[in-house]
Amino acid sequence: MNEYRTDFEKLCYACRVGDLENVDRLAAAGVNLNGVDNFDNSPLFLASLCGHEEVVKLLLERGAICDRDRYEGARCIYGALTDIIRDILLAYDISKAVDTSQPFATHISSLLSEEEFLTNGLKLVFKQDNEHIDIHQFLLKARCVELWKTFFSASNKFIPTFYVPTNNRLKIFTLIIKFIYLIPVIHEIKTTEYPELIDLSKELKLETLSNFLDKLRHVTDPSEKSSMIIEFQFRVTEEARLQLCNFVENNIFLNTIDPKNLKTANTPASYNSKIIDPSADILLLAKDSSDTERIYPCHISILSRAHYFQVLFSLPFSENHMFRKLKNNNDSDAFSNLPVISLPPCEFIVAEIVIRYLYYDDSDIPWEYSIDVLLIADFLLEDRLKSMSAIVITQDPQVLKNYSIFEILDVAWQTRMERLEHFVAKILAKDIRKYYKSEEFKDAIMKSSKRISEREETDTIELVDDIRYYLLEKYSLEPDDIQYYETVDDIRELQSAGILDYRKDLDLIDQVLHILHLNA
Amino acid sequence: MLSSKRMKIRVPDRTRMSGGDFEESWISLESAFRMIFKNDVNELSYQDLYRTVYLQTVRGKADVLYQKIEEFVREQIKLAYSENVLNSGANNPKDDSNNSDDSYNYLLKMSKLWKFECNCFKSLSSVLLYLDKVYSKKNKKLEIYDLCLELFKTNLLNPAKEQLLKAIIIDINNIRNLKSINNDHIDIWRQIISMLETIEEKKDNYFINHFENPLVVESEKYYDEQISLENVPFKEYLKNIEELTKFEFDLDIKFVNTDTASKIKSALDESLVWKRVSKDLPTYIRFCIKENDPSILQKLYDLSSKEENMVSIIEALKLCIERDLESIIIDTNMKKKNIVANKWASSLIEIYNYYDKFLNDFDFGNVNLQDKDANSSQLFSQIILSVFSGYMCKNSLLYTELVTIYLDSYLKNLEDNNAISEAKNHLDQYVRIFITLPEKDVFESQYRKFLSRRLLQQRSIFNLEKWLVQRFKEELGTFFTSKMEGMLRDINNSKDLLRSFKNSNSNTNSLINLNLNYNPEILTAISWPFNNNNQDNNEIILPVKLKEVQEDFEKFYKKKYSQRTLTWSPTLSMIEVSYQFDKTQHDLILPFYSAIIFLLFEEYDQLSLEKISELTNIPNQELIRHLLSLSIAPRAKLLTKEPPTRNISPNDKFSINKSFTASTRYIKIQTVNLVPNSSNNASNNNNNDELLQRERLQEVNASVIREMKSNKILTINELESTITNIVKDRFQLQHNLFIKSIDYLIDKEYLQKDIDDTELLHYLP
Repeated sequence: MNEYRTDFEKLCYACRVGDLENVDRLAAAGVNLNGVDNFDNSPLFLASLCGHEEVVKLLLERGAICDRDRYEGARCIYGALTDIIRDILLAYDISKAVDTSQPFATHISSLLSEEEFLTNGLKLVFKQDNEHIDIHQFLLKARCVELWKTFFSASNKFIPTFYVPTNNRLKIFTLIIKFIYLIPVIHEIKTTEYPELIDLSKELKLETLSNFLDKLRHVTDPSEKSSMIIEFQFRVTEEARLQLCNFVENNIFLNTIDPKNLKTANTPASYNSKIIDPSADILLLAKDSSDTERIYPCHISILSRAHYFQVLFSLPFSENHMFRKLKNNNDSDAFSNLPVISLPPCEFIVAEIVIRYLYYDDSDIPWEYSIDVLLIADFLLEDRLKSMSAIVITQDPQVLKNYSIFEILDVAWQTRMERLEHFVAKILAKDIRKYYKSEEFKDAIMKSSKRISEREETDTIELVDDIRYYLLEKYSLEPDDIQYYETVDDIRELQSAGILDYRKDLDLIDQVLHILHLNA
Repeated sequence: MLSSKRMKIRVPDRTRMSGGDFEESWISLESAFRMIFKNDVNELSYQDLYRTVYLQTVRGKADVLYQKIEEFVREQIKLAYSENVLNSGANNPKDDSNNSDDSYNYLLKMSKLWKFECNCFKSLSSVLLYLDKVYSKKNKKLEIYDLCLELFKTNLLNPAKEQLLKAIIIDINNIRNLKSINNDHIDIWRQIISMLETIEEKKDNYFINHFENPLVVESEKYYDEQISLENVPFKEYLKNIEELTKFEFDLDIKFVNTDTASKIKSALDESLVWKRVSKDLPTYIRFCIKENDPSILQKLYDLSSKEENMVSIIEALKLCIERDLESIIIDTNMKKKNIVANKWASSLIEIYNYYDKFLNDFDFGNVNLQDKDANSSQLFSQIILSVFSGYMCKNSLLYTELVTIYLDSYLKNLEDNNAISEAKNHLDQYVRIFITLPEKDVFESQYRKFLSRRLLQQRSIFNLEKWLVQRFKEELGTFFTSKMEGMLRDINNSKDLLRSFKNSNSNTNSLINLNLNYNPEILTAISWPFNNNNQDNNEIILPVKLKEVQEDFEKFYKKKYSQRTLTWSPTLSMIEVSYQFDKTQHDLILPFYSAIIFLLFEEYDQLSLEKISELTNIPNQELIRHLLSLSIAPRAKLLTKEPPTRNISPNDKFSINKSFTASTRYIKIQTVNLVPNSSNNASNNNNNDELLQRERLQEVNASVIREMKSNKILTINELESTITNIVKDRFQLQHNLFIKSIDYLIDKEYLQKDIDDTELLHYLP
């Protein structure tokens, strides 16, 4: 695995073997899905050729281009292993203009129409249309500072309602807002709206948008247009990722509060907008191993991506009660009483990884914290983050050097990560001669056998089965081979086929089982 | 190995969280749960509860926790039952006071309780989210929310079931009594029902298992007592039922799902309409027909939601039509067959038109009849025609005859060219009925016989004949009409031929000189229903003029079609003679022999029978027949006979009856039938029959060969049913005909019986 150095090479490998979670992680990390390797293979081509339906779907959803009018696209369709994959590819054919996006972008897009978790919203009022748009303040601050600034009065006082000058059309402004919310809008734009839209985006310093529209308006070929749009969407998402990253670093991590101050001061003064980002509507408390506490000013609308927070905020328990009070009270004093919710005890770095992940899908998890992240993700019921950290555990060689394999197995069981269970079984199979004598190994087998008996009365022990499976893989054998070699007596042939070593390994396991009085 | 041991994974992380041991935690959880079951959660911290549950789950206490929760919830629900349900509402189930307010209040209470409990369940299950995720699913236990519902079912719904059912039925019946839809009540019902539907039980839900059927039965009972058929006019009764069921359905649809609502509807239809009507169904149908009010029938039909009932109605309707048809009287003793045929045909059409009109706008809905064609918009005419077809089958020979006679007389009597379009409309109706005749080949041959006579004698309007044949073709296919079309073509071609003959003949001028109008008809032998030509024709001595023309024509024809054989059939032709009697001049239309006899008197004043025979060479019997028609038959005594007896004897002398006169200029002379001829006629009939049988056999043979060629091996029974199907448009396959065909084909070594299995036939290539 280590031979794949760059992320792109890793992606290509994951596409070949069908490692869905890893593809997801790498795509989320912003690896170019439409690149090609040394042999001119695109990730999409590799996944189609190797017949990994789910991977193909994921790649397409995340913006891999399949254009049958071009070489790479035609090659994908031609090379597709199954008809199902071919149909998926055709359905996503570029000429059909499919909207694609990253998970965090999808979440942000969904916020525009959702008001439940909208607090400290900003109002753009269109008097002549008798309409208004509610915007999440933090998003504006992160994505379009120019527009955010307009909410400050001449005397630099912040006023959450802005009356849009009447020369701006609601329609054009809505497109801009949708763009800020990462909703794919390019298809919606009518040719007559281009000039106005370009002007407004220039005014708001949304260069990516204005530059792109300037270019796009001169393009007529629909296929070229579509692929430009996809590429643009990709760029916008990456830009937004960067903006949110900056926002998180500057407005959350640099703005953390020491709860001691909070308690001693206990006055609005220490809490004013200079210290805390006024857009924050929830305080996230973390406590590390040295019992130091730190508060991160966060946003309910983003935290609610995690199932745990979503439930927490929508049930009528005390937290929700506080939150409602806040929502119904637009008095800025209310911010002094922002609800505090706490993460389970964890290092600050872990808390920050979680926050980064929730804000912009960041999945850069250092191996030292991968297990912590896995556990906390399990607590937060955030399955995707669990997969991301599990991938790091299985892929970073440092993890194995520094953790006991059996502790990893424990974590795998606790967090119900099959990927980890298999990983452990593979390691154990590889080094069975090293492990078979250890007490931990016996313990693990005992635990595994009990896990099974809880479910139903069968004689299989999952761990042992997995190890046996990986033993086959270790010696590059197929189940059929074993049957075949049963009938072979030639020692040399058996030796060269690795069958003798395989049998030796199996014996070791059986010895252990015998000692434990287990049958499997 | 050592290095891997040195390092520590932060598993203790999880237990590092504050939180006491299980007992302690449970106490705090339980008190929180109590708050939850008071629906008072504002003060509870979700984070703390979730974390406590998380911690206990991670510490391996999930099992105990789950059990404790189950106990706790059971207690809570039992409590709710004894406090809120047991002593409220329709007090004693045995108490029949049926106080409507009580029932309503009971339902109200139940619905409120349900809403309340649901909220509790939801909060509880959210707090226990982690437990659900880690423990419940993996251990095949119900998730907490479903567990709550299950406990709610066993501890609250089950004991309250009877009471709840009773309350809901009483309340529904009250609203039914008021005959007005009360939304407050309906809302409550709907909530109760939706509660019952939410709770699952054995792959279905509680409502379906315990409430749906009683609800249907009670509804049926309620209306059964409410309304009676006695003393109410049928029409009104149906109207009442219709209004009632509509009201009921509108009501039902508001609180039960459409499936249940339609179950109630069909139950009501069944008990209110069908059970009461079905035993006298034909009487009711007859009543509708008599009243000539399709709307009554339609109502009855619409109220019969079950398909089998719809079919019964249709069957009863068919029976009525059949009765009407059977009541047509055919007086077979009557001499004038065309009058009988006329009467019969017009009765048929009358019945047809009546039902056609009656059922024209009838909506049969989505009924599936067995022998239904895809074209359902015409379902009503299919139904009518199927009855007609059944009727026709009963005495197909007689009816075929009547049909052909009717058509013949109608076509013959239609003289005015202007009436053609009217005649077409008229015939169109008949054609639709007549094609329901079963043995179409019999019909075809008979029709052709009449057609040939009409064509040769030019007794009908040619265009109309053509149109009618075309109509038959549309309905029955080319095969049926190919010979008729051949006949029509012959007539047309003959006209052309004559025209070119006249032109070519202008040198000899025989036609003009002789002052003759000569109309030869060239008939293709196979198209026409004359089986053999009289070979003795040639011996007939033609009048000189005629002979001359005929020879000219023969020469002309031979020149034109050297390959064809031309045979004259003079007996089929007519000769028109214009003669000045003493008082009046008449154009006489005479059969060929009569004309030859008559024309002899151009040269002779008086002739004896023998002399006539000698001069004409007409066969004796024919001669006597024609002389009889000319001299003795009434109305057309063109010749006088010496002595004027009623018989003809060899020495009788004949001369033209100069004193003959009649009111019309055109006189058609008919030939009388001699008595002995009737036997001849019968043999002729037999002849026809034989011909028919032969044709049928040929067709069966051909079909059998076709079938066997493609199938190679078939059992006799399979083959017979296929063949029956193939030829059914033309005739009904008789078993012995089929056997005859098979025997013939085996004999000719087209087929072979299997050596082992005599039921099996092989095709020999």
